[in-house]
Amino acid sequence: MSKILILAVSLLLSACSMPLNQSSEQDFKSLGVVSLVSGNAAVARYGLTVFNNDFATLALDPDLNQTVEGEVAQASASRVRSGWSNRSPPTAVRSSRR
Amino acid sequence: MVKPIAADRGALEQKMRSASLVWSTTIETIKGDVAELAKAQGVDAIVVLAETKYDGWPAPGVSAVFRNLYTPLKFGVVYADVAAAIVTARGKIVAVAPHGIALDFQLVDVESYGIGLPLKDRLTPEVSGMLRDTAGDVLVKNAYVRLSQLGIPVDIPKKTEIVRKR
Repeated sequence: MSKILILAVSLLLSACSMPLNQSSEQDFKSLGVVSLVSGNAAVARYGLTVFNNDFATLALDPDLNQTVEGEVAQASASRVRSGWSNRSPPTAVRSSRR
Repeated sequence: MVKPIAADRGALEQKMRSASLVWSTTIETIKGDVAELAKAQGVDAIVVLAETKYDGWPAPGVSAVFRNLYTPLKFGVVYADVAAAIVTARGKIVAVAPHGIALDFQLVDVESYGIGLPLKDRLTPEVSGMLRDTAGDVLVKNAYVRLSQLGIPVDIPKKTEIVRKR
């Protein structure tokens, strides 16, 4: 019984977020970022019955992953943790979308 | 602090999607590949942002959903469900911000854009462009949320008002 309880708690906790702890943080000083978002978004319309449902696909911005990476790099550049290197991103990709 | 990494995104995505058993995040399935990438790019660790998709749910991670039951449809919701993890060059996941909780979304005024059925005819270049830009903005915001949950300090942008045709 206790084994089942431990397993259930483990499965429950596996979906919780786990932030970086200090001991892990000391293992690295430089970080990269990679964004893995597919090129399409789903568009769904739901009505009262299935006859009112409809689905379509929308092509996303082909540079979306680079945009996200550039934004993340810029957003974190001004908030450096002590001991981490501050590498500036190569290009500002977001500017083309706004 | 964080630098963009050039990667074969298609291959990594495909490997994530083919995972048969997922514990906390699909990123778990590609941690070995990400570790190799970190070594090749000369960084100690990589933050992986991955779209979360659900079996049987036609609207995956980045999506726009319009739903009405008894009343006329007024608003649609644009989602960008992403998970994030920090994978070290040794192949260890040291921080995880999985799918679900605390993510932002964006309301879209359906009436002003005339979004109805059939969808394929109503997704005009104007509507598609609006949804594309909105999805991109929500995705970036949610990437900030995930970074913050990972313990990387970023300022999360404030929520945007309803997207409405002017």
